Amino acid sequence: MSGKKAWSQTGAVIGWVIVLFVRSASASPPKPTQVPEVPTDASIAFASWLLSGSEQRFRSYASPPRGLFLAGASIAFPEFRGERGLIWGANVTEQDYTIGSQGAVLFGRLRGSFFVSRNRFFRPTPLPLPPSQRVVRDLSLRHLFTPDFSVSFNYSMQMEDHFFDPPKDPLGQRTRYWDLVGEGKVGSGFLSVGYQHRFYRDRMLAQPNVTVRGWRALYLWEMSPDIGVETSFSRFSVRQPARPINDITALSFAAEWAPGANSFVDTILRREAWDLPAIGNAAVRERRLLSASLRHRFAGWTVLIRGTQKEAERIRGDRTFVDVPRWRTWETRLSGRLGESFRLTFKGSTQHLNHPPVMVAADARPLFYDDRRSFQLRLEGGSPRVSGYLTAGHERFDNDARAVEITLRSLIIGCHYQLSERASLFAEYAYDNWTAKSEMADFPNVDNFLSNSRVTALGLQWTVDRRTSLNLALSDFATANDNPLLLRNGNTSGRFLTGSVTYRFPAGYQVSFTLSPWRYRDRVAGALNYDTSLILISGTARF
Amino acid sequence: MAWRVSALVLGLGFCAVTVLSGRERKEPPFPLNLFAKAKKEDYIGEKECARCHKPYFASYERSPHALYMRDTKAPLDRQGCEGCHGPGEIHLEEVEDATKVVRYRKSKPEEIARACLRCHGDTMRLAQWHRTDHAKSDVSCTSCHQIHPSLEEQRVGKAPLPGSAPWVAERVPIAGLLTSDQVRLCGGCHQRAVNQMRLPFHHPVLQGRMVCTDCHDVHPSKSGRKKAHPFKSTCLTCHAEKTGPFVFEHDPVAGWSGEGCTECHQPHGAPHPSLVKAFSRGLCNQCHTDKGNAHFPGWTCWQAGCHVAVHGSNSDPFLRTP
Repeated sequence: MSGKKAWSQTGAVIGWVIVLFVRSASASPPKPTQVPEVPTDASIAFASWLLSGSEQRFRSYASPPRGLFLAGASIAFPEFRGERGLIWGANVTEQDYTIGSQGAVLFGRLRGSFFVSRNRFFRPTPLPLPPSQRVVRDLSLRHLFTPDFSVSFNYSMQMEDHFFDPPKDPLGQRTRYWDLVGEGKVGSGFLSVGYQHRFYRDRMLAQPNVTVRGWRALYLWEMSPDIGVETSFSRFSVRQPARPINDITALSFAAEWAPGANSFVDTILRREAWDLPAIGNAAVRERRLLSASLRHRFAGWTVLIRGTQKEAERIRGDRTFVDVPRWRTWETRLSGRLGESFRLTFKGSTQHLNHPPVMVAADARPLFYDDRRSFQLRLEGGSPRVSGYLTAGHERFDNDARAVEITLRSLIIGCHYQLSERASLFAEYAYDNWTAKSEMADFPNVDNFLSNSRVTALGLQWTVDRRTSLNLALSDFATANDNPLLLRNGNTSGRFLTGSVTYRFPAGYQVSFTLSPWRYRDRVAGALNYDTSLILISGTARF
Repeated sequence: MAWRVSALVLGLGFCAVTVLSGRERKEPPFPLNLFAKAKKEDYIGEKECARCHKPYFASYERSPHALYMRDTKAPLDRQGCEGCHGPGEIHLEEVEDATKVVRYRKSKPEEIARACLRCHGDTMRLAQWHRTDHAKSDVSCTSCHQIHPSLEEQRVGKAPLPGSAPWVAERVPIAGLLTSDQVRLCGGCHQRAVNQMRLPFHHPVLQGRMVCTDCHDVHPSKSGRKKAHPFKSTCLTCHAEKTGPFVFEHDPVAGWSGEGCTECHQPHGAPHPSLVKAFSRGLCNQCHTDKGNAHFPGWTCWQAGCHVAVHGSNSDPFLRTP
């Protein structure tokens, strides 16, 4: 189907929706639908695409299922006094799908939960590649020995097989993680002691195996309801075959004090010692952090001031000392109510790099930003009928030694309008504007590679009557980039409209019809363009 | 040296504060005072509560809380409605008095945290909650979690979020008693993050393949530890091939200086592939200004087939081979 035809159909659907909406606006409000209490439900769906253009790009993000598929199911385990479990799936006959299950059960004071998922997906490459996949298996067991102290065991396995555009090599890797942790109230405080083990294996043998294991202990002493002091210690080793063992030790001290009902002071001191003999170039052998903040409430407003200092002791590849760059950050936040209906929040932070690091390279000028500043102003509020928000942000990154100045200005404005008791409208607009300068004066410079972007989102939710509801959702984006090398994926736009009608039967069964006309454009690489009208019919049954 | 002096000053300061605060023992703050002063006979049982609060009782019965709060071996102050709302007899002394019952919709975030953490102490303690960014923004437990879940919403879900995949079943998650699915819940305040996910390259959250807590640790929970990598950034939980340590590390990737992965990547979504902040060669030129047009005028530094191991190399100091 051509894109033009798809959009004309969409226009007809929208027109039909508006007519229905106007007709029902004067009707009396519906009574809430009574849904019987049932523990299990399942959704079956049928989907079809009417696609013209690049299937590769269309399917790059969790592509829609096609044909008949299980959209979701929820199952209870009453015999185990369990919490609800869930399985879901999307057309396992396709090469691109997601399927998984999760659940939790309770046996007395032992709680067990699991999560398994399998995702297969495409990469948006011009050359057809085998599908990549990610499989996750998580298991968690937690036993409450007393109401305040538990011992838990967590296990996780992630399997990833990815295929990329050449020259990037494919990945086939396994990451296994487990930990055993005892934690809870001990004396007048909180104790947490745990052991962790993480193992990484690359089946393609491009990367060496990595084992990270170690333990950590933490004790929080609550001296009074107003004062808490916490100390934590951790020690980890990082091992790779035929390489020296790396050790990381961290000690931290944190304290929190409420000098009054409306004031809070907290502080953190942290020291990390890094012994990394496996690294052959410049590294860090010690990091130190000191942070303190004061929060105070007054007359409906809250003010926060926080100061942070970070230090990193750098060494060369031959383990000789280089220097200690120091980052000092000041943050402030002020928030409170403006009258009955509005809330204002201001956030600002500034970071300065003292003792900038000397580069161990031909050009010894620092490569790091020496100043970072950000400000954000947010105003939100309104009435139960109309509410909105406006967020304006400004971020600036400077590296004086290389005359780098990068600026991001962002704006988000959104509103929610309750049109009637049965209909509501949501609208949002977001804009990011990047500019940059550096010592690179010739074209193309850094500024030519930074993209501005805008995103518009609209949503309409309308309960036509006590059984029928209708939803419309539109997401529209555009990115603008000078794209001096005329590469694909640099200048794109997309419009994704989804409309759905749902009818619910008295017993709680429901059927839905969804139409999604989507359009995607790449202004440089037209071969990546596509138009589609996804049709989805689904039914949910409750048992 | 400066670090040691700071540690000493802070340690001495807190010792002084401890000594001073120990002089005067105050009554526990609200709502802990309700539980502290309650006698055994002040706990009247959940059936008494149900007489007046029938709809809330019905939703409580459906919630996982009921499984735990009906444990008759638990202390009385952790059973039934009174385990959260305080002893019923004290409430009945003056039902309109807000200081005699815990009303979560009207309480301050601090008070809500105190009440919830009475039982959820193995998740975190109050002092730890105070240090979270959410606490500092007056976001309380009930801003995200609901104790009386809406069965209707759990079954039917909500209208599709703009940009989300229509074939993804949008349901209120079964775990955590969250008030909504995570994108809506977190996106209520973090709108910029959600809008970045609507850009052409993004983590597949709106497609239902990830949730916010896959990366973000809202409180120090068990799953949080899995994500807290002792060596490098949280991103390595999934992108484990970047773990290293490499013989030749790329400084921003290692996180020696700067912000680690987010120095180059915009994790929620970006206008460019690989979620990088700047397109193509512009990304590297933000820092490596001396490697401008004269160094290589063509394609992207890594796609050109030169610096293919930008995250670190075990064989080449210029990151040209893995």
